[in-house]
Amino acid sequence: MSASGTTDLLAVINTQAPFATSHGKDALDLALIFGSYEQPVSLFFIGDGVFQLINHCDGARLSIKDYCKTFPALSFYDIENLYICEDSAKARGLQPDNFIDDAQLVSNAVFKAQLSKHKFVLTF
Amino acid sequence: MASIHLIRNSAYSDANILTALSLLNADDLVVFIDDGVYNVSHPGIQQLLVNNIGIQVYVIEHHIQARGITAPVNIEKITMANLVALTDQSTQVITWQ
Repeated sequence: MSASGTTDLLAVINTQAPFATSHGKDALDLALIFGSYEQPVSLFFIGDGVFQLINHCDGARLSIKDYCKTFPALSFYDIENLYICEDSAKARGLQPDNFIDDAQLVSNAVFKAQLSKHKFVLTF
Repeated sequence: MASIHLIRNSAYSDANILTALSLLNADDLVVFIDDGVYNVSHPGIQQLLVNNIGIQVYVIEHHIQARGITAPVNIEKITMANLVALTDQSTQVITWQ
């Protein structure tokens, strides 16, 4: 526990849908770098960012590298915390079984509480 | 004559899309492309389909498949070749982005 009351180092907030922009891939690359150096990092998905964790994404259909395939493998980088804003998912007509198993669908209150545990926050 | 409206962004994050849709004529075509494909489940878009019987709504098939979502039955999936053909038949193409 640091002096500021935070326990984890970095939170990365994803707010954009995959593929059309590079925001999601950039956020993931950043998280992987921190993970590789064993720095605690958590990923948060809110707004259109929740679309990144849909389990049947297939970026290959757009002839691009599908970075979303990396999300289920993040535990190998010791990145265990993937939080999806439940309100954002509901607003988009998405059900829990639309998302990859490794991500947690959490209420707004839990989302906020987890976010506030981190010392640094970057938004993509 | 009919216009094609190409919708490229998600209405969940871009409220301008719904404003754009207020400009539709009854015989216009709407095509969801790129992140616009997320609109297939948007309540505002569904309302548009209910209110405007004449407006045809399409979605680019491989764009929606890439994003892992499914279209309701009242939105027809088309290929890029189909879009070119539709463009050929229309008098005007308006891209909203």
